[in-house]
Amino acid sequence: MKHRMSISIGAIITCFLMGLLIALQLKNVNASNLQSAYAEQDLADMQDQVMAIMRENAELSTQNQKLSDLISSMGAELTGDNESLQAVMLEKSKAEVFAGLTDVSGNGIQVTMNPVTDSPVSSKTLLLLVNELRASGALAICINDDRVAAMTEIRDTGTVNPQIVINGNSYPASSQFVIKAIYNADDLNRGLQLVNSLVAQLGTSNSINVSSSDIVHIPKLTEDSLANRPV
Amino acid sequence: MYFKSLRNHKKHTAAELQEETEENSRITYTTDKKQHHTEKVLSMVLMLIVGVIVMTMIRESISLQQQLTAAKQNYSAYQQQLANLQTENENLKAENQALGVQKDQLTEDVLNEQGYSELALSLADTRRLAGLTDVEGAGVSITLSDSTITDTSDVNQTSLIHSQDVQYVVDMLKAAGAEAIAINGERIVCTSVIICTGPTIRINNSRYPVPFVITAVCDPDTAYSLLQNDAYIAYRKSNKCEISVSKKDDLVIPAFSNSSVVDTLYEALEVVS
Repeated sequence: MKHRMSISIGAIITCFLMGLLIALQLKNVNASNLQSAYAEQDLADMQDQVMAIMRENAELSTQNQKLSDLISSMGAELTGDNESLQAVMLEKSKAEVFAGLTDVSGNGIQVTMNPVTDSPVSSKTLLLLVNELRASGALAICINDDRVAAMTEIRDTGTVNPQIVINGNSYPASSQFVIKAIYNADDLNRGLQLVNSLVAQLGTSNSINVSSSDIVHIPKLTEDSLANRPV
Repeated sequence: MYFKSLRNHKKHTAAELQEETEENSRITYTTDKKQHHTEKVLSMVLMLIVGVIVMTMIRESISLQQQLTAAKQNYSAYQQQLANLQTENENLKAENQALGVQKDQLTEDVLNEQGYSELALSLADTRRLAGLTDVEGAGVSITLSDSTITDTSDVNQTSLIHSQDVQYVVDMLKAAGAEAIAINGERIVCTSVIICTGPTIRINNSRYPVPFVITAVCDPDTAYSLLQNDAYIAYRKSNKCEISVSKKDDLVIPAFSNSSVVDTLYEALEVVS
């Protein structure tokens, strides 16, 4: 009798401990899942965001300091002439380059698209290539020597004789399209790789050739292009 | 003599039997004792093993809880830091914009003061073309947002807005003749890229989550009609993405304010005269 009782007590204690083990295991699994959620993706994403915004804030602080200094110097020299005028001219030159109002050159990439019969070039393909070039660090881009500026449109028009409109200028979709892009020397290889990878993905019926060059010349926005711009 | 002998034999047999019984019960007792002893040892070993496992798990549990608390604290610290940095970022942007306006006004004053009014006009025109000034006017506003309906079968995440969708709308607005475009107040310029970065989209080096509000100064009727009748936008709406288009009478598209990007481009490109 005594022996049976001790067996029962032993079994109860063992069951209790087993229950405790299962509960602890479940708790550990739950904690482990939560920890991995905090530790991995979310935290890494948060760190990226913090780093990015810190860089942006540092840049903004520098810019604000420069602007404050410029304002102070301009205020002090309001009655003077040379230095403030030079500062204005420099600002105008920078704005001209940014607006695409100057011819520029440098090392870069040339993408040549030769349409084959019954398969004209589409604006969609041109947009994909231009956006990829820009995303990979292109500093200036042109299509058929038509400068791609901030608000340059690239669109299809017509069905019988399809054309592609760039900066208000029409190009037959069945003609050759040459896209040129200038890069910093450091970004050139990355740009080439990304564009080649995109060309491979596109798998269009058009023949697309990608090459790099030490000297790529990109012209400024033409008077016609500027005249076509909405104001 | 015979009886005596028989009695003695009986006595002897009884004594032997008793002895045998005693021997047997001693053996049984010893066997039982041994069995009990073995059971006790086994129980102790079992309890010891279970005890060791429980202790290990308790230690592991405590360790995990400590790690979890540390991860939570780390996460909260980053959240707090991010919130502080975002506030600082907004203040710096506002200051940058105010300083930019002050500088432009002062530049114009300097130029007019010194008789360079034509240069002042040319500078203003160039800055406008470059996207370095605010642009006001009528246009459209397009809001792109993820589906609010959670669909676990949507493995390709078609109900979420991707960078390609934002890029598509921007390209459409350019094709519709937009004069200026901004995404969540971020002006689109010649260097602007729209890249997917996890749950956010990077535009001009700043990251934005949904919803994406694209505003454009353009002919509202043309752009509205194009967007409403576009097949791709209709397809994305059919994927449960929330896309709304509205005409606006008085939009203000802010200037591109990151002058370091302008400086970098100026320094990197060789101007051919």
